[in-house]
Amino acid sequence: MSKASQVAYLSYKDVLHEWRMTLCVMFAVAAIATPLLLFFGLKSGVMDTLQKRLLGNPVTMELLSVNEKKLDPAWFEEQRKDPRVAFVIPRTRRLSASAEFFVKDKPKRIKKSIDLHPTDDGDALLKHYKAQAPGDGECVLTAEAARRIEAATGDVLVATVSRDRGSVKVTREFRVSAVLPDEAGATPSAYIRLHELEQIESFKDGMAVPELNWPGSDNISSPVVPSALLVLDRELDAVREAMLIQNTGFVSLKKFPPACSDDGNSEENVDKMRPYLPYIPCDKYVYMVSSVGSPSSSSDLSSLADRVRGRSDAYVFPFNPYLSVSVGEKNFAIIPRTALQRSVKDATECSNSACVFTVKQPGRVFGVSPDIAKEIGSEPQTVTVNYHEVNSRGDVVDRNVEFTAVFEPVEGVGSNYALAPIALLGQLSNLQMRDLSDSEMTDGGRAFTLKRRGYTGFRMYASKLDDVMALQEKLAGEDIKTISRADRIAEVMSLDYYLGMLFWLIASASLLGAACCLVANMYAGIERKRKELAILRLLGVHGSTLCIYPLCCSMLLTIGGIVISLIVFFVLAHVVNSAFAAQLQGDEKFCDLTAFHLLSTVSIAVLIAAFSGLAASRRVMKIEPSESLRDE
Amino acid sequence: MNDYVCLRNLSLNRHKNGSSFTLLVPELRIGCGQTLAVVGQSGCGKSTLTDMLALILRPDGADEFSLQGPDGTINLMNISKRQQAFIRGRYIGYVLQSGGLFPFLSVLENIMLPAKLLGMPSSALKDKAKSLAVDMGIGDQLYKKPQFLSGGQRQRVAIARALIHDPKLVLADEPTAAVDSVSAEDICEVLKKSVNQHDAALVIVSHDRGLMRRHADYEVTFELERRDGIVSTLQPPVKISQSGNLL
Repeated sequence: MSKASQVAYLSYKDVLHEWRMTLCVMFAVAAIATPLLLFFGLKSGVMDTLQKRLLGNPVTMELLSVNEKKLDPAWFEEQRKDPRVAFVIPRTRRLSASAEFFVKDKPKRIKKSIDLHPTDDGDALLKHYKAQAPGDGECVLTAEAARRIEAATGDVLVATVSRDRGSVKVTREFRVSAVLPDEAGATPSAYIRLHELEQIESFKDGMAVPELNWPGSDNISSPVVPSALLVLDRELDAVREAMLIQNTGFVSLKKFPPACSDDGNSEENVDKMRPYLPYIPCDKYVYMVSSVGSPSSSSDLSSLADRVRGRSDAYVFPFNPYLSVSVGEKNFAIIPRTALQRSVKDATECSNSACVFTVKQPGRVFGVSPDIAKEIGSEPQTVTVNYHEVNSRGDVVDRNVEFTAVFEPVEGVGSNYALAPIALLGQLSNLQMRDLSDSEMTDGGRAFTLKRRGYTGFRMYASKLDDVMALQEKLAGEDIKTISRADRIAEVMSLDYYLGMLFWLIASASLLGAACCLVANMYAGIERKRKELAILRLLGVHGSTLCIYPLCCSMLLTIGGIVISLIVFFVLAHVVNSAFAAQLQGDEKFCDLTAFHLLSTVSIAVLIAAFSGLAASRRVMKIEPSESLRDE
Repeated sequence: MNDYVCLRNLSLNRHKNGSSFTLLVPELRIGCGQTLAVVGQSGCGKSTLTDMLALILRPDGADEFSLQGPDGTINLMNISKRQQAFIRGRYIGYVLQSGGLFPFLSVLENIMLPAKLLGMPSSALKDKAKSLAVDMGIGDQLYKKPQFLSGGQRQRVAIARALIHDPKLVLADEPTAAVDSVSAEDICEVLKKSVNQHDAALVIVSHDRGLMRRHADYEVTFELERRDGIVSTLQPPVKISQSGNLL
């Protein structure tokens, strides 16, 4: 190996000795490499900056729904489980999401309208600007909002919400927990927690918010029923029968003749109905009318009752065949306790408005057979009422509501049935369309209120740049239209691609030129040093060892050239970056190469040097030692 | 006397520009401590003979072509190119026409080069090279580049370089071709003296018979015949007397 290292040393001394020649070749290499480095540096610096800005700006990752489609909380839960979703929050209706704000303790009141947006822990927008999500009674303002009302972090703001053209006003206070910079959005906005925004929305909708003592109507579910039973002593004539489903809100009709009539030909039908209404004598005629789609209201029932007005034998029962109540392990079908305005068994049952369908807070009492009532006991029980229907389209409707009720014994009720006040039955029938909750009212009582139907929109942030497109496609598949910056992302990506291609086109031409230049230089160098190389052969250096000579020369020249061009590059890059400093933020650079790029540059240079050195060494192999012996 | 290189019934044929040239060597023995002058007109085969001795040309055939290595006789007829290169570097020293020094190495580095290529440790080498340079009378030129030396000085450096690795055979091909006659005498003197000191055999190729007769121990020459092309036969060596006459 000593020969090889000596040959390498000799080539080094040679390169050093011919320093003028060496510098020329090094500058030639630098002249090729420097523009390439600069071009690549600019490309990678600019693209990197663009991508970082895109990535850094949470707006890039934002997806906003544009069409109004009801999305229930379960849908949001599902989205949160998707790893591509960094954050998603429902939006309330835009029209109701604003309030008048002013700073509480300032002598000069500047009152401005500010848009309200829902937020929660993990909001990508707030997180990016290092603002903590606001807690209850707190808000985060945009810079514009803070400017308009001259508020600062820590100030207490008073928000005024009004409805009915300002005739009803309520206020609440928010403490400013943070102010976002201008980049976060140009509109005057305040971010508050979702449930607080929902309260404001409810108030604007005319509802009361008992927690905040905001006035309004209680959102009590008005009673409905999908069906009604008409019980008569005598059969209706065809005209009257038809009138039952004429403008009554009911559209289908079923007739059940008496079970114990003389002709006795409809035993089967009667038996089907009998258990529902155990208190109906078997010789009655029963008609069942039903609505299709949305259930019928109390006015529909009144219309139905009007059709049989004046007939003392007629009873109208609100009816829902899909409701059941369970307590513990027991489960009962719910049937009406009384008819509309009329008691079936005795007059006392219609006291306390038990026979009124529209009572707001009906008694929560279920009548069951005495044996069962005894078993359950007279203590209030937690019960679950379930609505289960497979509708004509095959969709399953299954909703529950839980509340406290008592059970009392009623003679003659089948063991599978529970009698419910018709008003309670009517309210629970809302489960067909909406979820219900058992809420406290402004007067302190309890009533069933309709739960929020869902949300019409959302604000979503994707986890990564690539996820934006994927999420947008996925949501489009669910018929949810969204807007995002996906097109901007695609633009940057394709710009990167084409610039990269351009670079490689130029680079490959230049590298070819560089290789040719080096090969030519090496050939010439060997011709000049033929004598010396021949002497080395004479001094016992074998041809293959001698190949190290041009290889080393080539490496030294190329690496020297690359070092020069790197120095020039760094100087120029610094100049470029300083010149554009005004356009750059933080550690952004217009012209930049990563360690990987630098390593690749040196590697490519070494490869080209090796190639030209090896090409030249073919010539070295042909040098004969005899050439050194005499001058010819 | 110890024969270092032996050649017997050796022949080599070369074709050059359509004409044939054959060199025949019936017998040639070169002993340690001897100076053999190879003289003759141009084209008589001096260069061919030195190329063979320098292991650059391989004879077409020989009854004997050997060299005395430290571990016995080395047959030079059937060795590989790599072995040839090794033997050239290890056992033979060369003094070239115009020195053949490397322009990018200093005098000292030039002198040390053959030994360094053999991997000899450089600390001892430096002292040896310096003392050789002092012997050659160029002890004050050690750190100069060859381009700053005179022709005579350069040849002295070349001689020092030829001896640094203690070769047993030193080949000098027209060592005085590029210097004036006074320097030529001087160089031959130094060359012979230092080679003798190292107990090596010296082969000087020259066209200057007078100079050779003043410095060499033996002289060989060639006899040319025209048969199928030119056939040159090496004549037996002739001893040269102290007075410079052939004995």
